[in-house]
This record gives sequence, C-alpha cells and structure tokens, in this order.
Amino acid sequence: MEKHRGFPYYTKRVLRASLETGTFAHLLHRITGLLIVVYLFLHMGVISLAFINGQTFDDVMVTFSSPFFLVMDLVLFAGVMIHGLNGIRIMLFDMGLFTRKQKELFWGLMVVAIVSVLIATWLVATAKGWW
Amino acid sequence: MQQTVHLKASRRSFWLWFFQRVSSVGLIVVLLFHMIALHYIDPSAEIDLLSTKIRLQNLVFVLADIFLLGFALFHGLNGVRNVVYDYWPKPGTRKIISSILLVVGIAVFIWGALVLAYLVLLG
Repeated sequence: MEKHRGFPYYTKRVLRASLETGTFAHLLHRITGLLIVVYLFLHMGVISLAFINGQTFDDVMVTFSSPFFLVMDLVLFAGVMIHGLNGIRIMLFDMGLFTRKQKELFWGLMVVAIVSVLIATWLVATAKGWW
Repeated sequence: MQQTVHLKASRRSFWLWFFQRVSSVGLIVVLLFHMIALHYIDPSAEIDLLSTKIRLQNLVFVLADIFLLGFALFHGLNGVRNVVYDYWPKPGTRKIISSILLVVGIAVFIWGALVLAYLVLLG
C-alpha cells in the first residue's frame, strides 16, 4: 500500500509540476470545478429568496444586471467553458481517444474556450451599449 | 474480512467514477438547455418571480430544473470528495467528510425540490 505523506508534501510536488501541461490542466480543472460549486450554492441561495419574499427576489435579479455582476457572469462562463471542455478531454482519454495528443488537445480546447469568452464578452458589451 | 471491505470500497469508487461521467454528460445537455432557454433566445428578457412561475407551468422546464439540480449537486459534491481524497490521507477523516457531503447533498436537493414545488404549485 502506498505510504501517505500528507498535505504539504503533495502540495509542493503538485506546485513544482504545475508548469507541465498535464498538471496545469489538472489544477485548472480543480480550481474551476470548486469555483462552480461555490456558484451553485450562491445561485440556489438567491433562488430560495423567492420562498421568503417575492419582492426581494425581483430586487436581487435587477441588481444582477449591473456591470459588476455581468463581468462576474463572464468569469463564471469562462470557468464553465474551461471545466466543460477539459472534462470532455478527460472522457476522450477514458475512451482511449487522443491519448497520444493530450497536450495539443488541451491547448486547442483552451483556444476554443478563450474565443467563446471573447464572443460572450462582445455580445454582453453590445447588448448593454458599453461602447 | 479485510478483502470484503476492500472490494466494497473499490466497487463504490467505480460507481462514483461512472456516475461522475454520466452526470457530466447530463450537465452538458441540461445546462445548454438552461442557458439557451433562459438567456440566449431573448437576452433582454428580465427574469423576475412572475416570469419564472409562468415558465415553470411547462413540465419540460420543471424536469430540466430537477435534473440540473440533481446532476449539479452530485457532480459538484463528488468532485469536492475527489479533491479531499487526493489531499487527505486519513481514512477516518475521509469517512467523516464523505458523510457530511452526502448529507449536505441530500438536504440541498430536498430544499431545492421544495422551492421548485412551491414555485410550480403556489405560482
């Protein structure tokens, strides 16, 4: 059985290796995943306001169309795109596909993610008349 | 005895791994529907309580929301469990955190389903 060496040991090892594409993808997947879990609970909390008071719910929804929250929406969109596209990459490997092109596939999908975020930013900015 | 315990644990990790995949494919489908229906068809539409209640009179949206709730909770909390298992070697602590995540998941699912039922039935 593998000897467990605890948190600091693994953290140091992961950080040292994080410049490698595979480790970088792994860390990015974790960080975006945990952020999306936090968002999920916030999202559910806000919707639950409808339970308490309908007017509060409507007021909060108006607040969410302010520029700050729209930018936060774009950050969330970026996180979901990165996590989703990298998740598809992981499942392709599970099926034995692209296993010899892992790095190329990662950077290709990240280009897709960046382009989609740029398009989303442009759409939001145009709809809100930011320029 | 020791081997039985080991088998049970590895069988459980297989099914958790498997449903992490199933829920991820489900999430891609339901999340696309959620985003397209609520934000892309009419980006200027104001989402308020009334429009939400009207939308939820359609069974398709209720089903989509229930599946989104279940898939997202399972996928998210099992993901947290995976992170914990990678960094937390002690079996006792792992078991406690697993149980907490399970209870949180079930409680939040029931809470979400209740809010949804309220919006559908008392709307």
